[in-house]
Amino acid sequence: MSLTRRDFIKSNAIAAAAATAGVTLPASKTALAGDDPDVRWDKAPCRFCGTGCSVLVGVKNGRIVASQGDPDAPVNKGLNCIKGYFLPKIMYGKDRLTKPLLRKKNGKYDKNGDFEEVSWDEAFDIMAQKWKESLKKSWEENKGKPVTKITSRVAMFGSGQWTVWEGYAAAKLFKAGFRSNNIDPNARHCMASAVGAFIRGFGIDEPMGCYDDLEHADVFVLWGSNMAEMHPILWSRLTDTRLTKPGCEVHVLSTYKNRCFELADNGMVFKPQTDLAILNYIANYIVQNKAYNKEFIEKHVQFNKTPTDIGYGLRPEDPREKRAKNRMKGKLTKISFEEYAKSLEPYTLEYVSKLSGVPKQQLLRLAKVYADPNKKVSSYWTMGFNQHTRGVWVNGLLYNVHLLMGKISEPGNSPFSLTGQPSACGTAREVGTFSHRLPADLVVKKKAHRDIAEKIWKLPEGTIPGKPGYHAVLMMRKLHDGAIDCYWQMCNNQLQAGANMNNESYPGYRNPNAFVVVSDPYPTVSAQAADLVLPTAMWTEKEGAYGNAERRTQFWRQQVKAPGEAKSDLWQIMEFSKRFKMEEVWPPELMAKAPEYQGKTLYEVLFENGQVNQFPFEGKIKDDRGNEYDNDESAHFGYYVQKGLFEEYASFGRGHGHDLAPFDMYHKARGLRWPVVDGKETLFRFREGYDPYVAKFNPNGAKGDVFFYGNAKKNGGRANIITAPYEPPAESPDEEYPLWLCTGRVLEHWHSGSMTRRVPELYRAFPDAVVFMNKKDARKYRLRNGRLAKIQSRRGEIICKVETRGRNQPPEGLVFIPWFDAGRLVNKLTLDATDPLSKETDYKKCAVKITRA
Amino acid sequence: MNLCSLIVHTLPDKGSEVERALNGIPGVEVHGGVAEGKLIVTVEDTETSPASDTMMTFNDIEGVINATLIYHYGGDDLNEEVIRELN
Repeated sequence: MSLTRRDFIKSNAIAAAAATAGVTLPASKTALAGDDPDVRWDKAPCRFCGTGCSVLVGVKNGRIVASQGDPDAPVNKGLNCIKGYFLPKIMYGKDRLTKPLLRKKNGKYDKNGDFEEVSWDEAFDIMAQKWKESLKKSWEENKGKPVTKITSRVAMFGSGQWTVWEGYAAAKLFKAGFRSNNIDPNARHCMASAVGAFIRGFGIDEPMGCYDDLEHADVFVLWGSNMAEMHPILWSRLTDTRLTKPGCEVHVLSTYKNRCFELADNGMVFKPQTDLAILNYIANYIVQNKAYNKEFIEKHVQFNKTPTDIGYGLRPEDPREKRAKNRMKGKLTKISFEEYAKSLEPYTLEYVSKLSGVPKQQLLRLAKVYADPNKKVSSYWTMGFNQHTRGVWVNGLLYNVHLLMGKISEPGNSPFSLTGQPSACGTAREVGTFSHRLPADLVVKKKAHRDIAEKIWKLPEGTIPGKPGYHAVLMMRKLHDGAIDCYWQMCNNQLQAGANMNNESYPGYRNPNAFVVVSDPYPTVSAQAADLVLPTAMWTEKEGAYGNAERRTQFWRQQVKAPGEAKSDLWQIMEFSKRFKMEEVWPPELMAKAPEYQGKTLYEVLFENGQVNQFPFEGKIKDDRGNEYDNDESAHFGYYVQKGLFEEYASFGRGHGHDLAPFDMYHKARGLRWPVVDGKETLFRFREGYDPYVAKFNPNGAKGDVFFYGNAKKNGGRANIITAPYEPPAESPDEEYPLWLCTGRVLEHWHSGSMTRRVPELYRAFPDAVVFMNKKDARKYRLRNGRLAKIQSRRGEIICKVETRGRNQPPEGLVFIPWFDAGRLVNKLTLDATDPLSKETDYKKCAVKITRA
Repeated sequence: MNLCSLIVHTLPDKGSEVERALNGIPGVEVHGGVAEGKLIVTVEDTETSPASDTMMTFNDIEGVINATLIYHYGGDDLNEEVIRELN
């Protein structure tokens, strides 16, 4: 019988889908299914969002030819979202960068020159020259200053898409090598408010629950999260529970109607910023009706208040900042339960319904499910909460509700912050690539924490600066102001992503004093504004590790070669460090403390330190099925680079509640959720029976009891309920700019579109950004569906097509524009107002006007 | 050349309607799962529509809650003859 590959592949495809769905098909449909000996299959976490789906990747002749949702992956259980189909294609875009590009005139670097191809040597030569000049200037400026006052003129803008070891190597190079805390990830734009609230509430970062809650909960509440489009696999798990579990309900809150409303039992469109008031109403309802879990709050909760009127994180000369009474302040003050209850009293059903625009009976229905002790509630949020000038507050107000009821740290009862990037947790947060952080929740401000890092890194005391560096938004302002000379952007597209680009980031990138380096696989908006562009390997062109939103660390092996001269971020960071002698980067007084480092390179001190280079590389990576894989970095540096970096990094957290498993275990498992103690992952933190750390910190505690050990030292292991009021946003619509602008994403594109817009099919599916608006508003401004409109704010203008019938249905008075489109840069319009506590930008609220274009 | 399989999740009482609608699209075949509300669907490139464009339209079909990709093959060798023993 003669068969084509089609028959065979089709049978495999049907079998995979049927097995995943749990559907039995006639045997004839799947008779041909079986392994294809020509294709090498291996697992890899998806390159896109923070869900952390595992994908099986099929490689034939050095190219990825097939992919399949990984049936053995607990996250996606064989499912894959529509973007997953294009995952392999993101590596094969036509304009992939394969050589370094430097702006040159007459054969020399010139900020106003045109891009010319150069060798890696020439690229690193000019970079090192600029870096050395800049480091010297910083020495001068820091003369006589204590380590707690040191500043730097070099900066790096990193990523929640970096692999764990890339982020770790970058943080080490900057904080220890260049002695610059000016390193911040793009995760600042997406996760910082969640982090701030975790630390304030629980004394330790990241969610207590996990995705298993999606099957355990009775009620789901989405707060500013369009899960149907942005986390489709989690959405399909939620949908399954909703449709199969009797009595299950879904509540959705958003400032416009989105696809999640199709499944919602209680869909609520609220006025921007009034989520603060809605949460206080729910807490007030619980308190007024004495529905709270008295035993839980007596044993496990401390009540606090936070300073109010804290400003909007704008430049200090802005009138809004000058008016703020407690600008940037966040120190908590302990209060009594009675004081807390009193602070909620203004938030009555009548008042909040009027303020938010949500009908009373809907608010009441929502409050009742939280207040019902017999209903397990899981709350999910993404950027609606985090990109908020009161982001830390609003995260905290939701914890308040869960804590009042004791609905936390057990299956189904879970306040859960979803992430937007594949390793916002694993790299940005856990490795601590923020301007104020070190690995495993340590911070640069505390000497004891710096001591730990210096000891692990074998550095003299006083190497790591004690002053937090420039965070993402401040970095743009400092670049603009000329306080940064050398700026390296890696694995992100900040020029397109940063708010108020006309007035801050773009003039910063083109500042004549600044040397801007962008590492990327593609010529993004950022790359085009750079002075030097470095071609970068991506995803399975290197060995990697990501950590998803539920604390799951996942590894993958290098599957294919990067094109041309493209090199991984890891190679770039480590190779660049070879260009510096220690005495060129450290001032004489620090060198005097480490005379053995005289004459050595940064590379030798940071990476050939007996730890990072301790694991030999045999020339190939082998799996236990007998397959072989390349590892280009290890081949280049001569040792198993990823393993050495990982093990050194993991030593920060082991024994401290951040335990990671041994390196090799992750290549076998479908990811493990930390803390991983004695080879066992932790599903629900802070509860005895699930989390081994509870017994360690609270040895006399009852079985199954909770203990918030992140606060063990601070308050005896209690979670903090923190009261905070409703305060208005930084900019609201007025007569001149009468509409709210909310920005965000769409299913087909991921973030700035630098990968997904290069896949022809995705481009065709959603080619350009549109302005979603209400029909009545369209009529009012003499616009129609499909017509071009000009959208203006106080900061800039863009033109795009009007969409009144699409998947997003804004209420009157609000428009929504996605930010993926490099041709319609919505961040020309946005305001760089940030949460003063988390420094995360509010991309969801500013004022615009709209006219016919 | 592209060949994909998907699970198309339908509203409980709409399985048959969605099945009919899908079978009417060139390059699309439903293989089962109607009773479960989880249709097992394959999609192939046609001369006028690549598989990806076809599957993008599934979410617009009434009664569809979610279309989830499971398997994708994108090699250029689909018409190659393979000899394989059948058990």
